[in-house]
Amino acid sequence: MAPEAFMINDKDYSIISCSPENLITKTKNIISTKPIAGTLKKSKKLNKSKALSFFKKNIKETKEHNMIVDMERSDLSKICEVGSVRIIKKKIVEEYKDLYHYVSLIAGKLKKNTSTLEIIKAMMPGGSVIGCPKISTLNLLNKQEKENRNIYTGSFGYLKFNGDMRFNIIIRSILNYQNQSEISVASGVVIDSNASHEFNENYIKAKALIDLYK
Amino acid sequence: MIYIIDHKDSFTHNVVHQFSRFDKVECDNFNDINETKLKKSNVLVFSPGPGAPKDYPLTSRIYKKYKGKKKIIGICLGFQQILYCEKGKIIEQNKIYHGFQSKIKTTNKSLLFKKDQKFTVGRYHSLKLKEPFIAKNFEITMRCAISNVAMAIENNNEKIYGFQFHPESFLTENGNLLIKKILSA
Repeated sequence: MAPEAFMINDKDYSIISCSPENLITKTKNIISTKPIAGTLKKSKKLNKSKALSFFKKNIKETKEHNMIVDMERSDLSKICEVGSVRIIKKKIVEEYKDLYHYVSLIAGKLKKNTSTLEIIKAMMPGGSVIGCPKISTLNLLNKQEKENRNIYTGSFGYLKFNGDMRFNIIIRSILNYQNQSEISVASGVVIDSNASHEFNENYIKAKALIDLYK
Repeated sequence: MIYIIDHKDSFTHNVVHQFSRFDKVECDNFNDINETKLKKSNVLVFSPGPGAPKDYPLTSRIYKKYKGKKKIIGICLGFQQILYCEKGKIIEQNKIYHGFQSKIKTTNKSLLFKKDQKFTVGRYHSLKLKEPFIAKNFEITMRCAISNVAMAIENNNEKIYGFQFHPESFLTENGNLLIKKILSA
């Protein structure tokens, strides 16, 4: 269901994440990222194609998604060969247990001799959890967010000896630590966001996790 | 060589890739400019970026120093930076366009593009040029098809060009062609 799900079970803490979002997939010299921007709660009246038409007609979701796509293209362009960065899947809908997501897949051909560190520096933190332009929004977020995000919106993944890697964005996650469970959710705010809509979106995102405690 | 002055934007590398189709490109942060590259370049590009032109006095200084000596191209904030240096007023617009796709049209002032052509572009801006704007040799050559806001300038005498929209965005039709024409002008 969640293609980027993972679990860590340590003696002091555990993390379980049903992340749907891939930040980096690198196989040989091909690198891709699959940002999510746009969420819609499932209902009986909706199906995948109706969800797609909702996203297409929704100017706010479209603008937010466009911004993320251009930003991820630019991040990939830092480390990819000129002219190789392409949008492989442009604004498609993916279906999950409780919601639909608006997703794009962008890929490029890595420049020769690009190091692992260069890849990580170019791509992290993921644009969809930071905003745009990254440096400027990071500075604003540092002033605005009073609590540490902890593991939330970080990345979990693996790095192989041959340099291939796969990293997700840690969302839809539970951090268990010192007999407490921490669930973080958030939504992207743009100029024409509606405060109550964004606030409610967080409940949709958290629902599958909160249901586990019922 | 094309020297791109980056205003710490998250789209700059799209600009780098777009210009790299046509020539060798170097790119540095506006506050870390390499004088050798600056002198060696034939074309200067002012990148998009957050904030307003008044926030980038270093870029304004470069513009004033190289105006008429090198081809200068501005994109989004870079476009506003040029206008600001030419005593244009950059003001907030009522509607904020971020990730917005809209139609623009070419005016009859353009020497490079056929007049009355309409095409789709990607826009990311909350500021705009206040008009009337009058500066020697400058013409407004593209406008928003709906609001008439200035979308491009040409100064073919001193080879200064600018776009308020983003030619490098996936939302812009024929962005590469626009850059190709400007570079060969």
